[in-house]
Amino acid sequence: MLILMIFILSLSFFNMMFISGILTGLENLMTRTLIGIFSANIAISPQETPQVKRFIPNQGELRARIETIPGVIATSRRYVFSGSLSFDRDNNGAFKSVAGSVIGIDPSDDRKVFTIGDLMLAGQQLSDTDTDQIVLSSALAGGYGVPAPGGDLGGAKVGDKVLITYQNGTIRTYTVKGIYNDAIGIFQVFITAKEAQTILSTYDNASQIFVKTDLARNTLANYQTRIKAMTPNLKVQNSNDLLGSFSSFLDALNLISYIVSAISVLVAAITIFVMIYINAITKRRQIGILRAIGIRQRTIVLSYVLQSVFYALSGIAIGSLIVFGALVPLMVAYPIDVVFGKLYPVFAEGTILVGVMSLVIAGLLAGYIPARIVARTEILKAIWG
Amino acid sequence: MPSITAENLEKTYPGKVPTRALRGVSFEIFEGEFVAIMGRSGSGKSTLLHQLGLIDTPTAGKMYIGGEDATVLSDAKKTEFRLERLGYVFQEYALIVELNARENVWLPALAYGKEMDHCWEHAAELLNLVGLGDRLDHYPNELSGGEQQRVAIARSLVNHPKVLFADEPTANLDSTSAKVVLELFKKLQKELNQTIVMVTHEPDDRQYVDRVIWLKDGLITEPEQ
Repeated sequence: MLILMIFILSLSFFNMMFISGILTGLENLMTRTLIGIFSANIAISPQETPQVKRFIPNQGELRARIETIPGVIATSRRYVFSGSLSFDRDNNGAFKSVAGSVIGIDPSDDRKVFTIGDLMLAGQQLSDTDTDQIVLSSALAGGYGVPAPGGDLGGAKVGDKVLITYQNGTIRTYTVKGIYNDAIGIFQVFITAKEAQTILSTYDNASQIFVKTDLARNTLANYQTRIKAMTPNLKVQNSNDLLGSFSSFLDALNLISYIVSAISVLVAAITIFVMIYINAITKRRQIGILRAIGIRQRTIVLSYVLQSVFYALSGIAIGSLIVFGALVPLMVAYPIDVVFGKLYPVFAEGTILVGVMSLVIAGLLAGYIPARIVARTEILKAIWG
Repeated sequence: MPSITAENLEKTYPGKVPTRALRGVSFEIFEGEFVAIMGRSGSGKSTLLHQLGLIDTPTAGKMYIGGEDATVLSDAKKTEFRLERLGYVFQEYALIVELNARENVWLPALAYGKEMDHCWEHAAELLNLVGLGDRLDHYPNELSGGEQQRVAIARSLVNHPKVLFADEPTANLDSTSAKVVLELFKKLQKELNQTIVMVTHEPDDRQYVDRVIWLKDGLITEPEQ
């Protein structure tokens, strides 16, 4: 019975830690991925007031100044505009067309800020001198199982020719150099900034500048403030602002984690309560005798509380062994493949501490209440029933 | 000065038909006396002992133990009183089965807060006194009924009680073991000047006690012939 109870408690702790660890891991992975392909740590956009500007001028000089801020790892500029992509998969004149965001990048700079290179499903990334090649997101290319409600190109592959019609009427044909896993279904096509400048007839400008920072060295808000001071007319946002639409999803993950933890604690508390109550009821006569010979009620209650805390700690110890001694090393070595990348549990010290404290407090209460109920029984009733 | 004074002690058990187990009992027991409470089954003798031993609360009347009014004590004070000044021996030995003989005796001393090593030695001395010096490490299920009762007596003595109460301590014992226990009580009275109040229904036990308080229908009565 004792072994069964400790086993149940260890499973409760395991459940609490594992679920919260996996959800935290998923949250971290998603955030990391989105920062890596979408927002970077800081994004700078063109002036909005008093007059809306299309580009950030003199981006080279501005980036050089931003890179002097201690803790800034790298910067990259991007041109962002739209185009219509057309692809004749079967070479029969039946083109399939899809609208997408065209992103002009300086590939060597972009690689220092973004992690799209890690997500290549096929082919290669762009190089700085490419002008007739593109990299497609998997959602846009089609055929990779990424949901595309607005349709996709129907399965464009590396080496295929894709036609892009830009808003200014320019039409160009590109060869697909690579396809990356965009994970969240963003319709993006990458061209080089060099190519983008010829289409947009501009030079040394940017639609956005992205900054990668060392968060171990300073806070995101601090970097944002320092960059804002350098660029008072520009819009400076951090990744939290940019990923705001995902925050509700992340909040939902947190909520699930809390609910699972609460249920685990409740199961543990009920298990301890039932066991201590049965134990105390079974030993009611003994409790009566102890009280008759002068053992204080609080001493008797304390003995049961210590007993239940011991059970809780044993459950925590065994649960920790299973989670941290076996499962986590195993999952770090063999992470789960999800669309965002490799998923493994991540534990914050605070989460572990809260888990341990919750179970110990549950043990205290679940031990105290039944022991108190039984210990308060009249002595004669306890001894003779 | 009396060790115990009872004044018009009453106990009524509630119920559809309330049962008056004690109907106004008054007596005194003096220090060093060995007194038996006797009477037929249902006469109220165990009820009286429970009141005197502070494991039950009288409905009315006064009760002084060592000069102190025990009827006005709170539950916590009663527990303290039982631990520090009273010893109680039950009919069914009432030992903690998970503890050996020495630990059973040691437990109330430990609860009192006495020095652990000293209590440990004292427990062994008391078990020697009751003739179980060679059974210190034995668990209750390894002891005979008489031996278990002697462990219970040693336990009741560990905090040097003013009064030792014994509720039919020989009822579950064979005649030889019963004799050993009663002679032990006599020895404690003589050697330690221990006040002892014992409930018994065995007429032969009268030879060991100084005095008998006879009860009938919850009242003190004349000795039965």
